[in-house]
Amino acid sequence: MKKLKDKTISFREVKHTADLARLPLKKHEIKKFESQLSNIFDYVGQIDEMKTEKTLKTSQVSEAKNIFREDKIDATRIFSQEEALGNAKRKMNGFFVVKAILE
Amino acid sequence: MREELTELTLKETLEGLEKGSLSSLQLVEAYISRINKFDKKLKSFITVREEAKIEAKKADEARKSGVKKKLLGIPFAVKDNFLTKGIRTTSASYVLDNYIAHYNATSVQRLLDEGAIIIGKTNLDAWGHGSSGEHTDYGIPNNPYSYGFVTGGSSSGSAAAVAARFCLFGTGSDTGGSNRQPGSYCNVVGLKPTYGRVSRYGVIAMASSTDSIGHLTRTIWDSAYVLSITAGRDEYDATSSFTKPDQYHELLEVKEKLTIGLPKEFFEGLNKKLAKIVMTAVKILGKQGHKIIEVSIPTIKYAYPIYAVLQTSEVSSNLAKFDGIRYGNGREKFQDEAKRRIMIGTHSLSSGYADKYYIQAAKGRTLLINDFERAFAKADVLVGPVYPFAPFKHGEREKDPLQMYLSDVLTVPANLTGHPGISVPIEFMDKMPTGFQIIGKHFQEKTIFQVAQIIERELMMYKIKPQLKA
Repeated sequence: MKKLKDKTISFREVKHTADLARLPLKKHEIKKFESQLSNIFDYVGQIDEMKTEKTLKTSQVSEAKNIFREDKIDATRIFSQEEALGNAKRKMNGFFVVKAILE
Repeated sequence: MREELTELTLKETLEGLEKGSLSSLQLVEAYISRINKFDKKLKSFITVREEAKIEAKKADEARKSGVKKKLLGIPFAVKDNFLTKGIRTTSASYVLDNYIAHYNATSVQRLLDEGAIIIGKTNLDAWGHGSSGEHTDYGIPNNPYSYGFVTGGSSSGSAAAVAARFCLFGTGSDTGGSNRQPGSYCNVVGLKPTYGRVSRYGVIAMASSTDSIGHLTRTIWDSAYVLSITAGRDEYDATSSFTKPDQYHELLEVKEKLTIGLPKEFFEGLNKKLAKIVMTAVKILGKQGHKIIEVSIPTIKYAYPIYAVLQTSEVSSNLAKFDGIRYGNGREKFQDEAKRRIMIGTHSLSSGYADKYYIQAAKGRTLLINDFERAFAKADVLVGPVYPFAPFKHGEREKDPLQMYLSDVLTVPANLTGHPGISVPIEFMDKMPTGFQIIGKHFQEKTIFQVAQIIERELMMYKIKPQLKA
């Protein structure tokens, strides 16, 4: 029996989801999303009612199957190094700068 | 003179340019003058290009020297989630506040190749996340017909700009109703082609299995003409269709008697005033001799929750690329709506929950598709309202995100199944624009255009101009 206080998505689950999604959330934001996401999942939970035991999933609705192309360079579509770096906030000597992951 | 120029539809403008009774430069100057006067309050544009005037002059010279292109010198607006080379592309989010795209979306390139001129980039619900136009970082657009009320979204700016007579057409992307909805609220034609009809290459992906690239125009002919240019296989978009597109603007006359299906689930509990206005449009089709039948799509009951899970799951994946490293600002710059959708999606796909949510939704999608196939075995098109209610005031539905989401219930089914849909203006409700939705079989855009044109010819809503405020 679900207690009135129990939310469909708990604070901990929201924090876990935010971490998985690399969303930097403050504590008060997690609290806010806890009730919003719980309401949404309460509503969405009704999909349980659909009888899908014998149903296949649909992943896409195009007629496309196994679309491949030749492994050849299309020179008209290559970025120059300048273009590739053009929108980077931090760059150095032709490289993107990222946070250190090694000591 | 200037006022009259901007009142012309795309068809009328093309005729004028051909005859020489107007020039592209006059046109662009008139539109930019209007934008400068009225867009401060309307907020339909994020970026406006004064360079369009130089391009217009060049187009006039090209025309004089005999160049023949389908949209030579025609000014159009591009929704700001479409990449435009050398032009700022923000997706209405601070995450991309100063991003300059290095290539054009294919749909934009095709229009440029036919001589069209980009007058500016339009406002939208950031990342396509919304159906009111309120989820933007660049100022909430006003409904040109009623300031203080929403334009609908997510292609809010394109619809408002076309309605306000700021350009001849605006591009838009429709993932859950985003072209049909603002079309409906702004008294313009909003087109969602069949999934795969127009290339998605270069449009910032929202939900890759439902994103459909279309446009907003004043009239049906205009819409059909633009589609004849953007539609067709693109090798850069693996999901784009090999089915050959039609010359849609040449096939607008109905040649046979059609069967018009009314899904009973679209009308259950519908606002009585709205139902009356929609049925008036249905009667117009009946008077032309088309058969009106009732059909049933039982799975529509679950269409919105199915969409909520699948769309947000795909969104969580597509927005993962915005990490502030190669381009853009950090993820802390996402507003609440984007964060919410990313988290709903992430949770729906996560270990322990994927079966219950994502997989169940994907199976439900199959059930919905089967229901639609059964309905289309009996009817040529399915019709009904676009929104369950009239345009609402800014902030009215914001308080409860779920209430906002429910405004999509009538439009998301066609995105889940891939069917083409269009919103054509019908009588205003409570002094506010209203749209009539027509859904067709896959790749039968010509049929939805034909049916829409019958309504347009009878009601001529495109002649009703909004009263703008300087």
